[in-house]
Amino acid sequence: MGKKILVADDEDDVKVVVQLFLESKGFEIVTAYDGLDALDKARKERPDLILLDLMMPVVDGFEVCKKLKAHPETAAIPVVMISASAQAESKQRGLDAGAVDYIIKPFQPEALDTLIHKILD
Amino acid sequence: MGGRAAQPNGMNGTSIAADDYLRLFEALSPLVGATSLDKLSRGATRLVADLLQAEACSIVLYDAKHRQLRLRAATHIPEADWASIRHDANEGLVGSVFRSRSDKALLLKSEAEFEERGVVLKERYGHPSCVIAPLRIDKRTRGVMNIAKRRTGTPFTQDDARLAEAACRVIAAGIKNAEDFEESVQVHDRLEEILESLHIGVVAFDQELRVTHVNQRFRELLLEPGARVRGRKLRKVLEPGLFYVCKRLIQDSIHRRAVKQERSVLLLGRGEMTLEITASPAQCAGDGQCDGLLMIEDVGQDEEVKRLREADSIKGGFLRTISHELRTPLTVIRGAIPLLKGCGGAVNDSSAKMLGKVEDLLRTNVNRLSGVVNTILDVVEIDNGSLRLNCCPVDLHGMMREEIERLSEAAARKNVRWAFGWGPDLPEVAVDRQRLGQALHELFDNAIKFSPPGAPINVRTYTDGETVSIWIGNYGEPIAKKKRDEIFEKFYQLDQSTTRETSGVGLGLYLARNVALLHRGSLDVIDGERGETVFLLKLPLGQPCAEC
Repeated sequence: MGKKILVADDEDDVKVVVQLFLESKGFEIVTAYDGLDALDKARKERPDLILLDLMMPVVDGFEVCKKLKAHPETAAIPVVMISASAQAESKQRGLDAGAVDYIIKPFQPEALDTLIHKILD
Repeated sequence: MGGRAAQPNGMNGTSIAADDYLRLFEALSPLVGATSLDKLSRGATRLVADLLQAEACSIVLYDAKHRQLRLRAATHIPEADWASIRHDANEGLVGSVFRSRSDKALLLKSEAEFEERGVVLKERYGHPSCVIAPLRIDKRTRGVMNIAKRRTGTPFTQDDARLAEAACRVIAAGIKNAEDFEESVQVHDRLEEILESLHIGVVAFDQELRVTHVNQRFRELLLEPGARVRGRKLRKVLEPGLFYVCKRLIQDSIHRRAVKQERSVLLLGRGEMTLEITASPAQCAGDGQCDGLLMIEDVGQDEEVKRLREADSIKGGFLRTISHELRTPLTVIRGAIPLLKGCGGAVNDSSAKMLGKVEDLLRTNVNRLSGVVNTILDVVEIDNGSLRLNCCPVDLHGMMREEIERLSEAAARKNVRWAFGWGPDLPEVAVDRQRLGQALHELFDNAIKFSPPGAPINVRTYTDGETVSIWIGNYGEPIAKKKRDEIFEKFYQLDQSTTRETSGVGLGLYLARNVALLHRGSLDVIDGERGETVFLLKLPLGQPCAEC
């Protein structure tokens, strides 16, 4: 049974393509369409890793990450931030919020795969 | 004794004793370095009077500004009276003896008298009792020293006169020093006065970017009331956003030894400000170290600026939005490419081959598009002053090989031959891997674009212990000298025609040079050998970029 990954992004196409790619690599994928949904799914599904888009409606990625880290049930789940902003400041904010890494769109799918393996293994 | 002409000194008939000269110079030498004309004149008159056992000694100088002869010092007149003893000078008049406020016995009327005779031995009371020696500054007689004995004193000899003449040469040098110094102090004071009253903020700094001076306007504009800034680094004095814009301008201005100006909209502690920032190198030492000046003006209230600012913010915002908007679809396309393989579309070898080709095409073009998007976003950040480097030590050769590898297809299309000259023992350099990678990519890409088909592109590296140089030379059309700075401007295209063979948005070299400058390095076009056009990138060793 593959590891479970929660993909939270408000862009459906991104979600689909990441899901298809990671499923082809043997992961089990759960998706969330906004920040609140992401928090909800994280608690229910207990994924092994969360890919969290930074800009999402309702609750943004920074907030979601902080809330995940503040909750004992989800605090241990590694979070990788995904963002369209290459600004160093956003990256630092992401890491400060508790993310283990930060990748910038458009990323190479292979690089994402490598990163996930690095974190999970 | 009266009337008798002066004889060579002493009974032995020799010239003046070497001892006398020695005593003279020993006594005078501390005075020559004096920074005050008054102090020098006072000291010199006393010394010479003492040395020649004279009753009185005075210095009179011509003051060109007021066209007056002025008494600078006299041993026999109370000091309080010196300044008031002066009189209008006529053409050619160089000196006179003042014995008192009322007595203005004029002894010398023209420079010509000195030209002919140098020092003058005058007779009064029927014997030589007066020596008048010229004070010559910059080959002009600027004044005289008068040395006089009383009626009953021993007469002066020719040797005394020569000694006085020698003393005057030394004193004249001292006068020049003191005058220069006093003038420079005056100029300095005046400049400071002007600087303070300017309605533009000015900060002066030294080679290490430490503040040496700020004026009142600068304080009002950008500093907290009462902030102490002298001797502190600019980085600590200016808010970060402003500092980075300034640093870039300063580096650029020093690099080109020219004034650089830019208008920048910055979000600072006291709100958004539109500043016109001018950087100018001041004194540049041979090693490229420069003092400099920054002039900063608040132009936010100008109507024209307001309009431009709106247009600018719309443009910047538009570029940013569009780049962000492009990133999402690019992510999707990129992510979808590896999925093609899994579609089961390839039923035989030829369709598998075609699928591979399609995949390559998609990959190459998505990468190209991402490159443009990243470049635009970086340029927006450079213009905002918000681009931060993230440095760590890297193996430059490895990085260069990687970038060349990424361009292998473009190079193959042009049949470019890479001619490598890797410098041995290249030390590790602390750089922002991503940004420098982009800069190298632009430079290699540029070399390929402009290289004639089949020609070599020379890639060399070397170090002089202080900097690492990366030499990228192609044999394309030479770039005219006057265009060598223009090509680094934003949106510059060498070939403006619609049929141009080379493409690009005109941001690559702008980005590359700014990346070099942010690393405290440089990027220039120089001539290589036999018509080679060289882009020379220099990076400093041993000083990781500030944002490490």
